[in-house]
This record gives sequence, C-alpha cells and structure tokens, in this order.
Amino acid sequence: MANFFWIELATVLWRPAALAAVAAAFAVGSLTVAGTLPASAQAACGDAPPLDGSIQNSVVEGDVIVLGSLSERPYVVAVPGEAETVLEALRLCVGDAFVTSARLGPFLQAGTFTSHADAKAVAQWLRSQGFDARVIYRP
Amino acid sequence: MKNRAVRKTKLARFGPAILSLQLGRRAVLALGGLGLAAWAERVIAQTLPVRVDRWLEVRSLAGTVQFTRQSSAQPARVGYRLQSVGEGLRTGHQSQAVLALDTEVGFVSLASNTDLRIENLSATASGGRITYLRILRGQARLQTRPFTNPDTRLDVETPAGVASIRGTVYGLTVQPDGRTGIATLEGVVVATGAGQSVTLNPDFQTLIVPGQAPTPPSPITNDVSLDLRSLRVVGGNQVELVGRVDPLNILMIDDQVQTLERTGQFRLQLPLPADRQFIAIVTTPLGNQQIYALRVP
Repeated sequence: MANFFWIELATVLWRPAALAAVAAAFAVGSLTVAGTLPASAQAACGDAPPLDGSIQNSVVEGDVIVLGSLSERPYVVAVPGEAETVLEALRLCVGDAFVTSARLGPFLQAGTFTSHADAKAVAQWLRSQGFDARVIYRP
Repeated sequence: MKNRAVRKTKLARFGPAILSLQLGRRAVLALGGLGLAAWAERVIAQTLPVRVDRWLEVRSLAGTVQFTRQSSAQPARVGYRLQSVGEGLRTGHQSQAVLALDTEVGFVSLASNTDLRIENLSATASGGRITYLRILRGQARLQTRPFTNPDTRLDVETPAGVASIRGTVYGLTVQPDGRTGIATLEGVVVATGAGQSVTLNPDFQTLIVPGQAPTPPSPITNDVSLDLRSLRVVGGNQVELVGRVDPLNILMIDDQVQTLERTGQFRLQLPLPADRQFIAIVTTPLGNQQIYALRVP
C-alpha cells in the first residue's frame, strides 16, 4: 500500500486477515459509525480530551495556516464514513474535524499527530465517546 | 481638468431613498414621512453645482494596477489623478493601491481584485465636496477625517447598496454576486439597500444582498477563519471543497473569487492541482486577510 496503510494496531501488520476485513468494511461503509451514530455518542465529549488540547487538523507555517494533509504529522485519527450526522457529533469533540478520503474510502479526519502514541490516545478517547476511531499513517 | 457636477442625473438614477441620505440624519428625522423626497428635490435644485477641481490621486501601488477609462486600461502610476466620471482603478492579483481624496480629507485603500470607478466628483455652492464612488467587486477600506462642511459627503455604491459616511474608518467587501459587507471601525456609516437604511455605529457591521434591505447591524467580527468541512478527491481528478467563512468576507481560491451562500458556506468541485494544494485567502471588510494552504490528503 503505497502511502496509505493502517498503523492502528499492529494487528494489521501481523495479521493480514484482519487488514483485509477492515479494508473490506471500510470500502462498503459497513462499519458501525459509517451510517448511524451509536446512542452513546449523542452525549459525546462529556469527558475532557487527552493531550491537553493538542488535537489539531492544522499547522501554522509563517503567515499561512495549513489545513488537510500535514506531512509532518503523519499519524491521523480517522473515523470511517462520511455521514453528516457523525461529522456533526464528532465536531462536538474535535471542532475542526472534516471529511476526506483515502483509497479505502471516505473518512472523518479527527486529528493529526507526530507520534503514534498520541494518536492512539486520542483514538481511544473518541472510541470511549462512541466513535469508531482508529489511527492511520499517511506520510 | 474641470469636472461638472451631475447631481440631477444622480437624482434620476438613485431616487429619493439615497437623496434622503444626502440631507443628513437630523433633517430626515425632522421631516420624515412622504414629504421628504419632494422637499429634498427642492433643496437640491436650489443648490447649484459649481465647477471645481476634484480628484482622487494615486498615492501608492503594489503589483498590477490599471487606470481605467471607459473600456480602455493602462498601467497606473503613483501621482495619477482620477478626475472624471467613469475613470477608475482596477487592482490585480496580489496587488493594492491607495488613493487620496483631494483636500486630504481621506484615503481609499483597495485590496487585490478590486474595481473602483468615479460616479461623481463635484462641489456645492456652500463649499461641500460630493464624492460618489462605485465599487463593482473586491474590498476597500476608507478612512476620512470628520467633514467640517455639512454638505460634504462621501458615498460608495456597490451592486447591492450604498454606504454613506461623514468622517469615519470603515471597509467593505463586494462579492461576485454583488452582495456587500460593510464594517465600521470609527464614526458612523449609513448603509442603504432596496430603499431602506441602517446606521452602523463603531464596531458594527451589516450585509446587503442586492434587492434586499441591509441586515440589522451586528457587532463586528473581523473574523478571518475558514471552517473546512470537506477536502477530498472525488471522481479521480476532482476535489470537493466544502466549508464556511464569515458571509461578509471575500473568499479567493487560487486567484478566483468564490461565490458564497448567504450563510457564508461554499461547496466547490475543482480540478485536482498537480501539487495537490489550493491557496485560499479570506479577506474581511476591514481588509484583514488570512492565507490558507489546503493540502488535499
């Protein structure tokens, strides 16, 4: 996989079958959050996020604010799907989350990080809020 | 070059609603009602236009700035004077210009991709200076000192309405569809659209949609943020760009001014650039700008 592959969970690397399953689910949008939001997420983000506000989808380079693909922050917290209802709920947790896409399909970008550990912590936090969040690597 | 006032023509074109602005707020309040327009016409008919030298002088330039007259255009230079009806200035991409009003009463700063044209430069018998400018697109910021002559006025017309001032600092944006955002920093601006006016006190703003009355004044935002909701490749070589900016702002993406919905939302589908990046510039009515690099994942 050229410049896009799951890092979440080394399971992907260790167990090709798991990768195939995730990829297939992603492609057909059958993951839990792709269509409807779990009831638990309706009260999303009652808990404080980890990392003391360092979740971000933008960086400042001089006078320019960079949005979208941030090569220096390659670990991306992603929520598969593109449903507007999910995006609205996710934005209660991460205000600048947005819809984007990869070869495996559309997803909601919920944060970019320089370290896998930070990304994983945020993904876990979002999962605790009801989102099917995982970490992908996009150098 | 002498300039002949054309107030009668302006009367015919813009009608009593704008005339009422020329009389000042106290007169309007004192008179009110349906008799105002007729009274205004009588008063103005008694005020004979006079010949007088009037101009806007180019004080500074950056980038590509054209001096326009009718359908012709030529590069502008510092020191050029715009003196006749129909003459104007057009700024290009990443360009700007500053014009000084004669008598140093004020300055007009034009941001990039802005068209300004003179509609009227004249004087009243009482010594008042009438300046009527038209901005077809872009962003301008005006800064004037308080007018000492009550007949002096400076009006800026856009496709959506008119902003009238009496000594102030304010700015405006003109969208491709004519929608006009006006924000006041100092002094008072009267914004008129569809025959209705609102008064903008310092730190207030309004939006005029062509054919509609100005929105009620609201506290100034001067917000340059860009709320991105979607940035993704669709159909192989197209990019879906969805987001929102303050509806009073101008959004330019790769040198093209984009038409916003009334809420400030935009939904675009653009060819995927070779470098997978768009440059977006958000400009407020007061001229504040923020540059964004939108890098397509």
